[in-house]
Amino acid sequence: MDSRRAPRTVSDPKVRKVGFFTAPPDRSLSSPPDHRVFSFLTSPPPVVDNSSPSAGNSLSPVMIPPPRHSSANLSPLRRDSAEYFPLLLPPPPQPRSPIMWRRRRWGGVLLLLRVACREEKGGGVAVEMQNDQSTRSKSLKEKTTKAERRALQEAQRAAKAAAKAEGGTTPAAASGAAASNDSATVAASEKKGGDRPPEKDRKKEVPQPRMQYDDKSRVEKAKRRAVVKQTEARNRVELFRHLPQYERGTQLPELESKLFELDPMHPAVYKVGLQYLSGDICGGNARCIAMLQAFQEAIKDYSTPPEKTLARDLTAKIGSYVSFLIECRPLSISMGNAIRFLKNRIAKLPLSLSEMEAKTNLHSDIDRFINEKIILADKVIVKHAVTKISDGDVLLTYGSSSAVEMVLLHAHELGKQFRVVVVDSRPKLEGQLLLRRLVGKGINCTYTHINAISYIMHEVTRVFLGASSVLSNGTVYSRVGTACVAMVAHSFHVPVLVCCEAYKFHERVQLDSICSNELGDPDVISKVRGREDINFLDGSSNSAILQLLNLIYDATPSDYVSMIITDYGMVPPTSVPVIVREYRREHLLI
Amino acid sequence: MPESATIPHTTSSGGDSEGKSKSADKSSRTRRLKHDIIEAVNELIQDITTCHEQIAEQAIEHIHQNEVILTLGSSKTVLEFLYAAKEKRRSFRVFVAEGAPRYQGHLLAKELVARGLQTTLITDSAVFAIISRVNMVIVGAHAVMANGGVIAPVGLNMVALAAQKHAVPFVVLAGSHKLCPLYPHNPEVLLNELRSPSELLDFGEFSDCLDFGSGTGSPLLHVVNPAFDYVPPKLVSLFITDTGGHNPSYMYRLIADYYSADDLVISFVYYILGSLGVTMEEVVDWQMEILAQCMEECQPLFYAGREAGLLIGKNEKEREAKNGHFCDCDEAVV
Repeated sequence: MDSRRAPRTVSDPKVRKVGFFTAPPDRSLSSPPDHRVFSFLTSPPPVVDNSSPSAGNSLSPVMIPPPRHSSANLSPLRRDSAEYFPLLLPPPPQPRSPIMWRRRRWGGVLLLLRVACREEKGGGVAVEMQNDQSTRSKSLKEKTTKAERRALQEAQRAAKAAAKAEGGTTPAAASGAAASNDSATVAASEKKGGDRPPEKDRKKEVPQPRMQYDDKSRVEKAKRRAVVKQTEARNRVELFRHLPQYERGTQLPELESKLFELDPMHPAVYKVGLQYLSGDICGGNARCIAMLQAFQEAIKDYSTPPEKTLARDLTAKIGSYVSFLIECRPLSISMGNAIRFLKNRIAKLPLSLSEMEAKTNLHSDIDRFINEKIILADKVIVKHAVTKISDGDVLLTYGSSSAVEMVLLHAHELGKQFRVVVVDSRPKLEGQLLLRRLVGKGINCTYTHINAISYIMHEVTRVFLGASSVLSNGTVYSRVGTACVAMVAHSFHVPVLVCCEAYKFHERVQLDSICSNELGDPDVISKVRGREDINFLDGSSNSAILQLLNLIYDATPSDYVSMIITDYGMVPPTSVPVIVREYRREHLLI
Repeated sequence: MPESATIPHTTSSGGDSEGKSKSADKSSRTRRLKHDIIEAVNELIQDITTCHEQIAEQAIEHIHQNEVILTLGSSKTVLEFLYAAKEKRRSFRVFVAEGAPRYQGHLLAKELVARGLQTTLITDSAVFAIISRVNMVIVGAHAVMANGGVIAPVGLNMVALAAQKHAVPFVVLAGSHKLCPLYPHNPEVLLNELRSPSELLDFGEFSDCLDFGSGTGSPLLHVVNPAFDYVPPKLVSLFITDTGGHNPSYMYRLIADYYSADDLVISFVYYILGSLGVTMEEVVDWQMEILAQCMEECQPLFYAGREAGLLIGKNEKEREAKNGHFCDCDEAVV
């Protein structure tokens, strides 16, 4: 054991340290296979932690396991870095001390290099690295400085391009070489709040502001590139001038007529866009899966045009598909995260792969994302959540969330005796669909509307809610009305549990529901389905002083939420930024 | 009192002139009584029809310039209130929540638009989202209880909680005829009405779920559609009545103007009994006893409360007689 190495922190598994420990300087440059010091737990040593973070057999559900390091299954990046630094990252069986010593020596250089590898700004750095496989450490040092300079330049160019096009984009998309292509994709609003860490300051990862629709010049630019012609709604609510408000009725027929004319658009993507527009696909997970599967089809049919690299061209194409989907319906946060993952995977494709191999890789990556992040995550969430349901419980849920539905059905299968209160609201009336499915399975249900929650809350023992996303300040961003339910539950001292997959977390922060939201079709407010006697507003819908507001989302403050159930365990809302930060890199590397 | 109308002949046995004056007296008393009652009822009708104006006169004190007002459902008082402010050239805009399941908010929005007020119609679920940008919540009431609580159309408790969280004043407009001497005990259930489920669910679509098909013989699906909500007094910032603006803690004094002291005390007694966990049957039994005694002794009901052991009465002798019965309740003070 190297005497210079800092002593390992407490190894008693019963002692749980919560919070950040700052690493001693030599360990802060840990490369992936080694133990990351930013850990929240001290129990089992991380090399054991090859299993997925969600299979917490040795860990209780509430603890956040340290980020996982799979030295066993090497991802392409790790394979590459092993190639690049044969001396510095020997395979695990070797004793640790040589690594530590070398890492300490190369200090800041290694950090930069690793960051440069990850946030690839074009193929230049990778090529450099490949050529240097066999060099000793000294010459590597020289090369890295050159590479470092090159990487810096790329980053600056990228920063300029992105600043010009003011979109929140991923690093790959903003790469300098593809700037002209990308400005088209960047101009459309991608509400991903993409973080582009500048080279040296990993700390300053402030998400770029999203496209704001009150800036006329930018709206004009976006319109020129739009596939779907949108007419702006006539009675725009002033408070929401920064969000897009379009006339809804005209888009679908027009898009349908254009079906055979759209050369650049892949039919699968077109189909998904139409499904979004008409509201056939609804719900964060469903939309994300549909989009990813459409992208799989598009990638399968893709062929690289001559004189273009696969990575850049494919990224540009994906970007154009995404802007089309945004025109159909603004992206949900889960979709934004998935797109970022995909672009990252494309950017990391080694140049040595043939087109066929690259496409197969991407296909399997997408499959793995869907499987691990959505399907398996849901299974883990269900496993945790059913422990919170006991016999005799009265559970309240709002709207229709896929995760909550799975929890309730599973608990019912396990034989627990409980009944469910389904709260619903206009205009979507999603609760009725959930109600039908629950009653079909034999669960005792009560149905009511959101105004009656004060009446029904006396009987309720727990509230289960779904989320479209959880933001970094603990705010739950979810279907409009969720905040009301959580607030009333809080005032009656009923615990509120939010079920949300971890891929939906986002580093953005939001204080209220006005800053960022989605505006739906205002006409559905004035017409009440099934109640023809309520058509008071028929004649006056075109009046200038009457406005109809149809919000889709709202932001629930974190103090109303007792616990968030994710595939990383059951955590309080304050742990969300921790998960976002610690697992963001891990997410993308899977 | 009702006997006086039927007595005249029997009491005129002694002294004819006396008897006649007595009967004349009694009939004139009856006439005066009828007259008084009819006058009182007319006054009440007058109150109800003019309360809107008197409340609306106070609008300019509360609505200034560039205000944003939120309301839910529809209330004629609120409508008049907002008109009055508009007439005095105050600029404001109104967010109207539609108020499921009756959707009265649509009506209110239409009328406000007809009078030229900038209106935005929102769904009830968006109340929390919008309320951070609202200056004031103004609503009507179905009834105002003696403790300052409000029986209001369903959904208003949610709005009141949201307003409290965002420190937005929650103003209730209520004519004085809406005051009620009752103190609410379990008002969500006891002072509520449940309406038809067809307003929420279409029977045709869900008829299979409403079967009495499960093993226990009860349907799997219950639909709950309450008509009213109870808003506790701590969530209400201000009551505006035709007599002016008041704090919720003051409302019990106003009740004394409209109800006699007997009704007031009895209702308070019921409130205390209710909080002590006494059931209605026991109260009714006691009431029967008390009533019988009162008929005999012609004592006012005020002392009947004492008989129930809650009030400290004047007559020590009677209290001693009842000593063994409710002595432990003597400490309770009105």
